[in-house]
Amino acid sequence: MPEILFDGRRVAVEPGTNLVEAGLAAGVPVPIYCYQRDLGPAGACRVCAVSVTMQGKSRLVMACMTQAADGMEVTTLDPRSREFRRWVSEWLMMNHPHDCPVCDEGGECQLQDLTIATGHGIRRIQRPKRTFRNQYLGEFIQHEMNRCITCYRCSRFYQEYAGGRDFGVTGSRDRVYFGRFADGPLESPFSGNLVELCPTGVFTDKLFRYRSRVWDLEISHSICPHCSVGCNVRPGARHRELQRVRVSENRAVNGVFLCDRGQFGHGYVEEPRRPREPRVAGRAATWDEALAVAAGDLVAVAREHGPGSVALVASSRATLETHAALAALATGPLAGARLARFDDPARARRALAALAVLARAGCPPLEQREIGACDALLVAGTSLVDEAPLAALAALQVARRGGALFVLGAGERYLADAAKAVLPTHPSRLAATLGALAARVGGEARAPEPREPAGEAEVLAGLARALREARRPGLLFGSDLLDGPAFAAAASLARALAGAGATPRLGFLFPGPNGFGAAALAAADAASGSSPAGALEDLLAGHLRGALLVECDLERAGTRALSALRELDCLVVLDYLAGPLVDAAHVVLPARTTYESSGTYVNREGRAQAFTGALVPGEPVRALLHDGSFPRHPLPAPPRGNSWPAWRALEELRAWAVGGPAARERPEILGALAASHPFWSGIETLTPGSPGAVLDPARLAVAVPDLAAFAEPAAGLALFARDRTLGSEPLSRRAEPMRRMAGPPLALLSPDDATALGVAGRVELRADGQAVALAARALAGVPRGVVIVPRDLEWPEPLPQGAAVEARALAEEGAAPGPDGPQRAATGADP
Amino acid sequence: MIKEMIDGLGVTLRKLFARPVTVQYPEQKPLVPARYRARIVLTRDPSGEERCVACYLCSSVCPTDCITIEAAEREDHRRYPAAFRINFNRCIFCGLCAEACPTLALQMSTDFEMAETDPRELIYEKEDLLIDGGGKYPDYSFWDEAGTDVTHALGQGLQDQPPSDPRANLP
Repeated sequence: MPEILFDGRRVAVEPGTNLVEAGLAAGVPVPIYCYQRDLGPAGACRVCAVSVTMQGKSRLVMACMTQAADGMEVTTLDPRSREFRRWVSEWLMMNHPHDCPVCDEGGECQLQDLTIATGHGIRRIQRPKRTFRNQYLGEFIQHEMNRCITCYRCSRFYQEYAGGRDFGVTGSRDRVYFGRFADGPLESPFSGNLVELCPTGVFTDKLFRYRSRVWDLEISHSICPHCSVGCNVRPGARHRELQRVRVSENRAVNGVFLCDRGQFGHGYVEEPRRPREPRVAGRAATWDEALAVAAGDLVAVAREHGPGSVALVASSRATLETHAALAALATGPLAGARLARFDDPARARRALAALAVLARAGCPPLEQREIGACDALLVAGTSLVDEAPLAALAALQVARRGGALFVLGAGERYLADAAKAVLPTHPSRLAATLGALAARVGGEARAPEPREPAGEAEVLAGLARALREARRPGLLFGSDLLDGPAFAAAASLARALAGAGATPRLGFLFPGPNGFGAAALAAADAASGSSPAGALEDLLAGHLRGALLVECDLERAGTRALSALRELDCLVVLDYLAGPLVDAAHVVLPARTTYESSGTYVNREGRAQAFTGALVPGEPVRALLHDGSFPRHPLPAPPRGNSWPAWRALEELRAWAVGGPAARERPEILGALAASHPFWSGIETLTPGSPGAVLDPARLAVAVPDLAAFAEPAAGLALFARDRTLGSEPLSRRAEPMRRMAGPPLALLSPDDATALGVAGRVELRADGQAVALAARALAGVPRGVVIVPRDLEWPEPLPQGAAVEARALAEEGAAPGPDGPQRAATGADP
Repeated sequence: MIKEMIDGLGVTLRKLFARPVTVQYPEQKPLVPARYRARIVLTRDPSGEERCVACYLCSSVCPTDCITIEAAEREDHRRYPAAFRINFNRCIFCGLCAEACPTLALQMSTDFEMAETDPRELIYEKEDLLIDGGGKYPDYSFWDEAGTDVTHALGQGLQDQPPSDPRANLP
């Protein structure tokens, strides 16, 4: 290992380490603009100049472009490198505008910091400054090209790291311009990272535009609640308003990147219709009144009809604390109340099936940081960028590093170009394909089935070879496009790989930020005799009499289910999202969002992570301004600031309903959960921002749930719903800019089906006597016989995955359909 | 001792006929230096628009934390304070805010007569702080120098070249 002397500090670094990293190891931050650890060096900005003395000769080098060598003496403090860096600042300031007071980057601007640090103050040159026209880049990013210092971080990330094609660099001389060919929304779902990567204010957050200085923000360590990856974020709030969400570096999980859904999907926190006060029968009430009525009604229903007629439902966006407090409610008069851990029966079964595979496979989990390190990765049964965007970004790095990336999917768009092979697979045939692959991995060269499409055999053979020969093979499965046999085939593939001498890392996607945690709790419930989805199915079918819904998204559960819920003797809703059930509930208890409370989520790899809140909820100060004045009279408490964390409300409700021990605090709830089963050990001592604790599902006894196989419909198309990258899961679809960027819902068809049906712009889908018309597009990755719709598409009655629908082309109305998410051209799959 | 007494009475006697130093305030107004640091005002630029761009530098530098601002964007993309409050109960008139102000909007005036009997009257909102003129710097306009296209077309600012064409490859 080379040993160097860095500003008088001796440090040994790995061979190949550049001098910026070596400086950090020695505790010396070398100034940088263009260098970024994940993007690598570019040598474009020249600000990292340091003096290197070796064998008696001293010279000026760029630290990011120079590898540490044994015996180097490096210094940032000598007059020569200092003067060089001062010149760099002066060059950069020749054209930098004088707009720091109105620039949102101010306060976290690397250019500002380093210009001051290098001592530059007066612009000596009197030449007028170069200007550029700015572009409209969509609803998320504000473009201000005059501020650019040409470090190339944006184009390197956008094109090389994230695989985007609609943004890049043009121009020559001092006219180097970073932008799109023409104005328009950025298509990459990772465009938000430009804001964080840009060392100055060329790309700023439009949602945070002209809101606050960053040093005034209240910031906390939180976890993104928009999918099951569990990225670390730092929400920033001021004046009782969540103003922005940024990525929080956590090398154990997401690194330094975040997707647009996580960064810009926080509008639900400030939604005007959000329930912020307890309500009883439509009228505002105090917490004590509301809790008394809720407890009295639930207990009355349990006494009259038996506790089995009461459902206690939480969802995969509820924290572990909330789930534990909900389970603790089922005692005393409510003992025997029926627990549901998910708000969708089908997704509950799939989450349990995935957990059962993980529990039995004996493979290490495919952690987020391991995805990019795989040298062969199979992504199956998902459109990864739509369901777990950051996992897709990590999967793309497999291909970038020269690894073998294979996709067996339905409608995969983001990874299609980078993957070694994409095999559009009908979800009903996924099990057979995985089985064939497992057989090949195990060494049996099976004769191709007669139905196997041409070319599939070669792809599977190549995939089997790549997985078998890989040093670090990875298997990443979705969940919503998998049926029972596919889960079993996934398990047998993992076993076959392990049998062939490889240790595959195995991962599944789960619904929601706490889907893994909810599934583990549901597995424990099932062990004590309750069916994982039975309670919810009975509730939605109208067989029960009372329900407590905690952070449940049942808006799309269908008219029959909604009217069954409205007709309950007692409906108590504890949530922070408005919706038809909040309007219909007898008692509404306002909960706090993730960014307003502390809690614990378990992400898809089984990593339990704690988070804390950044703000106290309440009416934002902005909404209280009157005629340019703040409120003239002091307010005793934040107006409409009466929300509680869901777990606290449940603990208080338990004290009202069944008595027993007083309401517990978070450490007690987590301590009790950790003591209940060795699987949960370690969750009670997590600190926010730490790598968290990876829970081992092998410690759980998970019964394989009863999950039917998808059948290929005899006539028509098989309908599958899945998330869209932007705006289809319940939280981000409430954010107005997100909805504008997501565009209208879009049905995806295979090019063959689209041609056969004559689909040009719109399509009508018909099933079970109901019809929905929506924009449609052909996409090469969609297998024949399948139509993919976004999960938030509203049907009068929801259809199960794989339901047969009839599709009919409609004449196009007016303009062409909007994009399905911003990455439409990245796939380039127009028919 | 006698000598000391005579000396002392001598001083008294001399001062009896000297001009008094007491200023008969409020009948008689004192002469205040132009750079005196008294009531804080928000000024306007030569076009009559408010100068403040709500950059939060004054509220950040304020040692008593007496300035509260809420920034907003006008229809014409001009950044401005939707609300601006100075709590003069807390203000110590140190002048750091005026020194920090990058647009010369916030200035110290010479008006020190702001005593009130009710402390609530000392909480000044934007309408109380805004004055009509440019204060000590009548000619400066931040937006003309800023290199933005808020108050004029892009490239028309005092320090700007016309917009470059990044697609041109001429020297």
